[in-house]
Amino acid sequence: MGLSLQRRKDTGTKTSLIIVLIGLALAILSFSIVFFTARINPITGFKEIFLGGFGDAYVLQQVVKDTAPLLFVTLAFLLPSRAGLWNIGAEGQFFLGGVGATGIALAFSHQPSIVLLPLMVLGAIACAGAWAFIAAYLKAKININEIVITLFLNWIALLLVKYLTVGGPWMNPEGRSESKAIPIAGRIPIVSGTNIPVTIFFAIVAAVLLYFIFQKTRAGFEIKAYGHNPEAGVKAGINAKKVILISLTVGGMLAGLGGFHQSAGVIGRLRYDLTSGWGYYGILFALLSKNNPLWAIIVTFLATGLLVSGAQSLQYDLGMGSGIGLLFVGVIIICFVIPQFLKEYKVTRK
Amino acid sequence: MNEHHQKNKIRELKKGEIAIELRGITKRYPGGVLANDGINLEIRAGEIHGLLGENGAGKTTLMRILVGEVRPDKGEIYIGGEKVDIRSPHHARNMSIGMVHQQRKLIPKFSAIENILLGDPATSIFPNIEKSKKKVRELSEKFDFNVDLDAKLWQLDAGEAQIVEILKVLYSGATIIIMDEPTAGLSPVQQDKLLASLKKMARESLAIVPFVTHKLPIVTEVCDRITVLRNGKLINTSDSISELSKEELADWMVGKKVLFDLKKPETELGPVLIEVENLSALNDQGEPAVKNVSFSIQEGEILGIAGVAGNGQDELAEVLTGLRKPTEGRIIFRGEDITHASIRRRRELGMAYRSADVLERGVIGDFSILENFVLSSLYTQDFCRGMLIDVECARGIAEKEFTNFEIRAPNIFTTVKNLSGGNLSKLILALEFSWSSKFLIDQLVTQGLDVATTEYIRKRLFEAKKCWKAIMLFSKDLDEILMMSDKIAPIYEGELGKPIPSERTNKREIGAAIIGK
Repeated sequence: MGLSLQRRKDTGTKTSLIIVLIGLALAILSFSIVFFTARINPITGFKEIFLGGFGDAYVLQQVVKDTAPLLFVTLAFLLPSRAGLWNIGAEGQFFLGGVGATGIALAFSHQPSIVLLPLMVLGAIACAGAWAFIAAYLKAKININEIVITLFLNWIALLLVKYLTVGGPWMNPEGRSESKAIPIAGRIPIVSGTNIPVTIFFAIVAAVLLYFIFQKTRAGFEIKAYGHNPEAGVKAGINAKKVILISLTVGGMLAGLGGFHQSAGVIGRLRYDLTSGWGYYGILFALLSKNNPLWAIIVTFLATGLLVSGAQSLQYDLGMGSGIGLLFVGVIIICFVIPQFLKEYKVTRK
Repeated sequence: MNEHHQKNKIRELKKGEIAIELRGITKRYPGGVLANDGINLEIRAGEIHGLLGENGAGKTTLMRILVGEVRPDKGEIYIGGEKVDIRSPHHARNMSIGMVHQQRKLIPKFSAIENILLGDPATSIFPNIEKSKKKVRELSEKFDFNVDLDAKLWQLDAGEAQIVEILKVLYSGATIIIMDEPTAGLSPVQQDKLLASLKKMARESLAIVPFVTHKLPIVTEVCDRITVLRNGKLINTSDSISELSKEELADWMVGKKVLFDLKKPETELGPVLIEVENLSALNDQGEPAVKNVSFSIQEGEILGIAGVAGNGQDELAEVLTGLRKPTEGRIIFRGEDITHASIRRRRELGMAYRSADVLERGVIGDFSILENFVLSSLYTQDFCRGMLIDVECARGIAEKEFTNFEIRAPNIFTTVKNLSGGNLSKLILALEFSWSSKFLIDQLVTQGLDVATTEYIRKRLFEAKKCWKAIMLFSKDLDEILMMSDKIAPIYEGELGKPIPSERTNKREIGAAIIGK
């Protein structure tokens, strides 16, 4: 005897609210257990998370700065996901964005900002888009699983960055494991009075634009329809290959903009720790925002504060392990996604 | 009573005794599909008892119940007079029930004998291959099977692989042998050999139960008795196959429906709208499914394609709509060669499609009625042609058709998966008639609908005919085809018969043509 799943009929807003509350309660409970096992008073723990995320102006600034790349990678997963495709490759596409931006900056280092910066954006988009296009093309032409390809491309991207920066052509002559510095003309301007690169606005605009595309345009409708039911979409005349190629490639480009932000706005050069797992955070944030680009802005901001920055201070101030951030993200996903699933499906015995 | 005792008991059965009996077997799947509805059936030792039915008639479920993969909701099963409860495939095997699958469940890298021994309860941890081989050879000789037991399975052809499956079942001591489409994928020579062997097996007091949809005449020839299933119900069991007339068999399989007073409108036909020449295509398994099909349809004409499900109708419809690539032939639609055109182009030219699988392909279940209108309008209506979708305009059209087609739902924002079957059927018709379509390929027609909706849909189709739309009607319901169509073409094993004006033919003739007699 096994179990089988049955779709529930329509569920109301009231159940949705209850689901969120249940998720929250489950998350708090599981976090508390983690704190207990580390011999930390849960209240101290939660307080630390909040202070580490939104405690003072400096921390808040840091969080907003990190929200930009994380929002880009969230959108990089979200867009193909609406077409039913899993882009696990934001990590690699992020690196390639950094490669494109840095490469252009080093090649045209004497150009003024007004020329150099747009060229760097194009370089980042082109490289990251091409990287995602490899998986998109293989998926569209011969139906090779995009999850596998995008995932493997992440490791190749990392190795490519290591080749370029550790002993390779772009290596810093001072011999450290990083590229030469991006010239000042190639640095992303910052919002005055802060240290936040203006790319944060790009990211928000991209999210709003995506929302508009899904709501109002034919292209957005094609992606949504294909994602919900590829067969019905194809029957209605939607070009499946086009949807796959465009949604994955544009997703890659968005992740590339994250790489542009990080290399040209924050670090000032290409490094193999340009991203350490941010591409994977994007997947989780997109899931938490239920693939809604507007929600993604809020969710990414909050999650960056609590689960990235806040978790980091657990590490520094309370001496918890370095995996604590990812652990919490995982816990949150389970706490929210499973009740969500149970809202839509009923489990019955066969 | 223990299982061993049972196994011994059934081995003692004499020819003609009841080997297995089903009483009131009922199975309803989650979602409400009644796959088996009170089936009573007895199968005797020493007979070949064919179970016939279309795809979706409930054969597969019944088969899975017999081999313990599915448990019935209600009903009893008796083996050798003892009431049993078949709990699992393993359990079924212990009760001497063996299954020969259509999709062979064998391991390609293993040799024939290894496949036969694999999973057999009698096989010890250190199998004595030589001893087993001897036993299998004896079985082979007895029933005229000829296969190299040391050959790896991938080296064998379809016929030989099937023999391995049969030997595996015989070796395990099965006395009730269930076979799914026994002649599928076999050449005519292999078929004849197989059927001869089956007869020999029946003579040894084994009960052979082939489940058949395809190649009916060939299989029924060797059956001692046949039973027909339709829509989950057992329609009839015939004791003497030879007395059964062709049209009786066709009737049993596809059923009769209430005839309505609806009159087909007399319309003058316009110029040729679509012309198909020598079209061929493969099915998903890569076998020929549409074979050299030619026909043409004029404006205002309804062409009925009559056939038992699974004879290439799906593939033909898919090739016409662009969902499947043809291997040969040409399609000319409104003067344009669309043989290799995109689906979008075909729709732009006015080709509409109601597919048989509503929720898989016909609509997007998670979308609202309005969104499904947008979907079907994507390339066919002006409000969708630009970059932006004019939602207000879409809403206007959806509201109009929603009322016009009397779709029963709270409003156009209702999620489509919550609609009833009849409303879904109406909705898809509304979707495909809401734009200026010229030609409807209709695989759904009135399938599974109540009397009122059936009449409604037919009325709508006739109205479309009056507006010079052409319709290609795929139906298994002969009465429906006869009353709806201007011309009728039977399809059997992928070959389309010559379209005959419906007033010049009758049910008997078509009935015979669609089962290949």
